[in-house]
Amino acid sequence: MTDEARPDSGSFEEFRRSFYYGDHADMQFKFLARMPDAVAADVIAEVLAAVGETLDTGDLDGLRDVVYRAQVAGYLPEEPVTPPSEIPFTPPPAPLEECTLALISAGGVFVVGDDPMGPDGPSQQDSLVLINEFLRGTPTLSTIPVDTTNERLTARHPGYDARSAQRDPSAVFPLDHLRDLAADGRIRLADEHYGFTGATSQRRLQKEVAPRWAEHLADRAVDAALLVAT
Amino acid sequence: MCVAIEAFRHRMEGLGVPRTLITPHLMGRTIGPVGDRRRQRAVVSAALDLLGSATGPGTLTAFEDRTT
Repeated sequence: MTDEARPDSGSFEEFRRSFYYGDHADMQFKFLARMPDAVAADVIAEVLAAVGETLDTGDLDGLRDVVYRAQVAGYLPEEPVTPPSEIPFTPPPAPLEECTLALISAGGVFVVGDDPMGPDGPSQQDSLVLINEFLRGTPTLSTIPVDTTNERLTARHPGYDARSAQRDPSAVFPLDHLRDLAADGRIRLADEHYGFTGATSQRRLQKEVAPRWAEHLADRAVDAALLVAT
Repeated sequence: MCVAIEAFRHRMEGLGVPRTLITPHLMGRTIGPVGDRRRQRAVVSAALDLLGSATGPGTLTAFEDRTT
């Protein structure tokens, strides 16, 4: 939006809400839309102060901590979360080093050239305007062979800034680290690993799709799954 | 059996996942900062530890980096 087209009388509320898929859409700071004005103002001031500090010190960890704390506060539910009355639990069927593990990431990772939305699938930036379609859609698994290197992976996800995963897939899809740990004898790895886009119909995911994925893993003699949320 | 890695504890408290490792990382970098291989490996190793050591359902463990 040009300066001429931008309303000059916008309120602070409009400004903070614009981070949530609006004029200032930013997946790292979209939580500002959920905060009261005063809290959002404090967060912005604290982040800017941390940016200034980091410019002098180079201490990125301090800046990350400030943004992380803001994200945690920004996404806290309005009501306390009640755990389910029954939670499943399966103990290891054998020593861990004898178990076969598959990685499943919700980070929207897939192999370059194997876009789950087809060869003309949207870019990361284009996916943001499709957020509602994603949230109504049925999740699909992208299969990623165990020997796939990070250079052959990419990511797209309308719920977070997947450019991070494009730069370093291990930030949400740590298959290379699992290969190292398997080489050290910590675990055995399945032949196939999986990515999907977590911004999807949660009801379909839980009620329809995830049980099929579990059967898929059981059919391949997978003992354990490492799940990565984003 | 499964273990999850998540950066936001409240999300997992309501889901009923058997085992979860909570990391103090930004959204979209659940395993660790971009390019920080030492940190990422420590997180994955801790998740495997949790997979083998948790004794009951709904275990939520905060990641502690013991490699620094």
